[in-house]
Order: sequence, then C-alpha cells, then structure tokens
Amino acid sequence: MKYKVSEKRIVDVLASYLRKSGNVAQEVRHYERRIDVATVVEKGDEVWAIEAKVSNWVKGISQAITNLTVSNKSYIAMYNKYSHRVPMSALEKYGIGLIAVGARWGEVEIIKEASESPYINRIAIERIRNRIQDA
Amino acid sequence: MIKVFIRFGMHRDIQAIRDRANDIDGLVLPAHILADQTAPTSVFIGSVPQLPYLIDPMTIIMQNEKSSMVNESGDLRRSIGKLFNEYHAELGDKINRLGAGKTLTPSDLPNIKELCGNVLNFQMTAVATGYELSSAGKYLERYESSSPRPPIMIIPPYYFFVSVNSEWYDYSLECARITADMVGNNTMPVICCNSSILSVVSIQKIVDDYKDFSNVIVWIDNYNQTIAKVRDIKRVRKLIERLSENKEDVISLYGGYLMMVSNVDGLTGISHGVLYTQHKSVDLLPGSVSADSGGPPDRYYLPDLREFRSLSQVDYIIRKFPELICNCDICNEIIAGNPDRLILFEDDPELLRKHVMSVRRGEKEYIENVDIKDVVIALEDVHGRYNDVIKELPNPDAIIEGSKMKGIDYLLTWSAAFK
Repeated sequence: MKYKVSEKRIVDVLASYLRKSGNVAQEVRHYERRIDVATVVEKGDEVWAIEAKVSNWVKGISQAITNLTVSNKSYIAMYNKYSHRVPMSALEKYGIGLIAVGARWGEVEIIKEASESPYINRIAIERIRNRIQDA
Repeated sequence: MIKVFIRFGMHRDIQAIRDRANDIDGLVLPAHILADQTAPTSVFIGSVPQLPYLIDPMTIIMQNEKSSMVNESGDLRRSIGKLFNEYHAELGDKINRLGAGKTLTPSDLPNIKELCGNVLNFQMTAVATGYELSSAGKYLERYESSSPRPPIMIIPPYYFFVSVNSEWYDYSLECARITADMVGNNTMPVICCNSSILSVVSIQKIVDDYKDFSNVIVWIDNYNQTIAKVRDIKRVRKLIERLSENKEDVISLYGGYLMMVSNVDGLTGISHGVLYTQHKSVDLLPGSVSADSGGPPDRYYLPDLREFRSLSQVDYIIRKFPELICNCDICNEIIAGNPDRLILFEDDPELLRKHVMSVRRGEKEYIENVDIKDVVIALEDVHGRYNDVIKELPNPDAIIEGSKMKGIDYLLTWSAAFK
C-alpha cells in the first residue's frame, strides 16, 4: 500500500514509534513556536525535541537550533528517502541529531545521535517536560 | 536631539506606555482608532499629560481598493466607517460606488476645503469629545486622567504618491496648504512615498514645494531596515538632509534604529508602535486583509542587533553569547544575570514593551552623543562577531511578511550607507 508522505505522516510514524518508550507530545508550544514532536526518554530523564521535515533540512536544522534551549537533545526527523541529503557537518556544528522516518509504521532509524545541549534553559525545559507529560 | 513617539496601536500597550512615559517623547494616535474607540483612547491620552501627541488622520486609507475597506456585508469596516463619517458625509457613498479593483482618484474625493476642515476639526475636538461620552466614565475611574488637550500639531490629509508629478502628490500638497491657511504654523504635513522615486530632481521638487512648512513628517513606504539597500538608504538620507535645511522638525512616521541614525542628516524624531511598525507598507493599511490578520506576535528587542527577534531565538542567542544579554533597567531586574529568566517575558508580555521603550531611550541618547564614525564601527563590530551564528537561525519575520532577513547583514548595509 502506498502512503502519501507528508510532514504529518512523518510526525505520526515517529510519534507512534516513540510512544513505546515514553510520553510523547506533538505540536508542543515553545515560546511563539510549536515543536513538532517532543518526548521524554531514558526513564524520564532526557527531553528530546524533534523537528520533522520531508526534505527541507535547512529549515529543519534552523528550527532544531532554537530547540537546543528546551531539550537535552535536539533532532531533525527527515523522510528516509531524503535523509541522506543532510550534511553531517551541519548537524555536528550544533550537535543536532538525525532520525530517518519512512512512510510505514515502525520505519524509524536514528542515523546520528544528538549531543547533550549546552544551552538549556532550566525553567523552559521543565515546562516542556510538563507539557509532554500532560499530553 | 531625537524625539521618540510611540504610535498607539493596541489597548494592551496602554499600561506599558503609562509606566514608561518618561522614556518617550510623545504619542501618535491613528485617527481610525480614535474614531472607533473615542472614550478609552481619549481618557488614555489624558492620563499621560506629559506626552504631547499627534493624530495621524489616516486619509491614506481612501486610496485602498473597496474590498479592503468593507466587511463581509459590504459595509465599511467599523473604524473606517466612523472615521470617514467624521471627514465627509459623501465619502462612504463614493467608496460604495467603486467597482471591483478600482480605487478613488483625487477628483472623486469630496470638496477639498470641506475635507481639510473636517479633518482639522476632528483632530482639534475628538479627544475632548471622548471625555464627554457616557462611556468615558468607567475609563476615568480606571485611569487618573487630566482634562483633554489638543494635539501639538495638525496633520493635514495626506496620500501616498508614486511620483512628484502625480495627482496624489499635488492633492496632498494642496491639502497641506489649505490646512496651513486654517491653522498657520501648526501644520505638519506628511510626505509619503517610496524611496525608489527619490531622485535628485524629485527631492528638489519636494523641498521646494514644502519650503514654507516649518515641520514635516516623512513616511517612506515599506522602509524595512533589515532589507533596505544602500542606495535606498542614501536616497532617504538625502531627502531628510534637504528637508531639514529649513525645518525645525523632520520626523519619520515609521522607523527604528536605522532611521534614528539619520539624526546625523537632520532627522529629529521617529515614531513606531511599541513592538512593531518600525516600517510600514502603504499596502498593509487598516482595512486590508493582511493588516487585519490579528496582532503581530510578541518579540524581544535585542539591543546589539538593533532588531526584534522571537523569544525562542533570543533564548538561544543569549546563551550562545551571554554578553548580548541586555542591561536596561527592565532586564537587569527581570533577567538579573540568569538567562533562564528570559521566559518571564513570555509570562508577562508587558515586560517586552517596557524593555523596548527603555532600550530605545538608551539608543537615542547614544546616537545623540556619539560620533557617526563610532556608530558605524559598532555596527560592523557586531556583524563580525555574531553573523556567522545568527544567519543559521530561522527567518524571524517570515510569518509576518515573508521578509528575507536571516542574519545581520543589514548592519553592514547600514554602515556602508553612513560611511
């Protein structure tokens, strides 16, 4: 069966996958923005913020940069057909991770682990954590 | 000296303006807001007696297409209808008769002397009228308000012109002259055009035509300081320089830091909304769909970057570069050296307003007292230090108007235009 790939599809596939290991919230408010997917992993310790894009990795990275203040780890999730286009140097510059997501349920692969963010706003991250847990 | 006028736009700005009245030099009231919300706006004006004010007659709205002036029922939008009713009984009918895609021309407008007289009368009496309305009572209880006072100058009807040889240019000038005949030197006409038409010849004509006015306002259409080119800035500078040769005041109706730097050219004031309208397009007037799409998002003014940024970006920027944490009195109290506390600006957007007014006061004092060479050097220095990182961030203005600004290259543009 063919699935139409959209950002929403990527978000749904990703969120479904992540729910197996922790709370997940979508469209999480972060100041004036919304984070596509946020989750708490590793026994409630780490907050991950993930920006989903079909192919526009440039925009994804720029959004993921601002998520560094409200997450322990910041990722972009790309449609796996295009995830190879993301230059590793761009990710490494900011310590952003990369997740490849397919159109089918379960098609999720962490291509590059994110680094621990050195820019965390301790008040803001707790609010994000609460929003995830309230979702 | 540079005067900073705040353009009143939303009633949620009121408290910040009242609390920080000492940071600013005056107010600009859009006439359609005064016409629509006469009582609260009038009482608000009375509650800040130390602030002189001007009323922007907003006659430029008449140049819109009908579709952007009417609501779904085909009636004039409420604030516009009320204002036009003050200006001339025939205006509403003339607009209603407009065909699709058509706009009024000067010859369509009612009797020019009657129009000028009514615009003048509105500016002289609207605030006093507001005090007498029965609805003023609850606002008088809310604010300590002194008695009404008139604006410091009268702004004649004005219109956007695409050329100094156009009908609208001539009509605006005639309105200015008619109004000056009525109130003498208290007339402050608005010159509203795009920077692209400001050739040497055009500037000379404007200077010649407005030579008898001691004070003028300029509105450079869509003069977005983050994307303006060097040649546009130089044209605007030349206009200001030439106008100021024989004027007491040359004020920019919209402007930010870039416009303030034109103090070196003779500019004596700027006006802008508290968190927005450092520039304005004549195409985005009240009544146009884009303008009425809801208030702009709250933003934080980063002093060193001379621009507003979203809070999400500012949070990242001040962590990456802690030296960019603002040291105005508001931020000293709220952030208090702990960048985590930036989030308090989200919790209380009033603080964003107070912060920008505090910073603006500091900027105007800086520009008034520092040599232009040092202003230019500072712009280049900031660009050199921070552009590489900031250009990676999302375009902060994209959701508002699709601006292409990303990094802070505009600082280099400004420095080139002022060298």
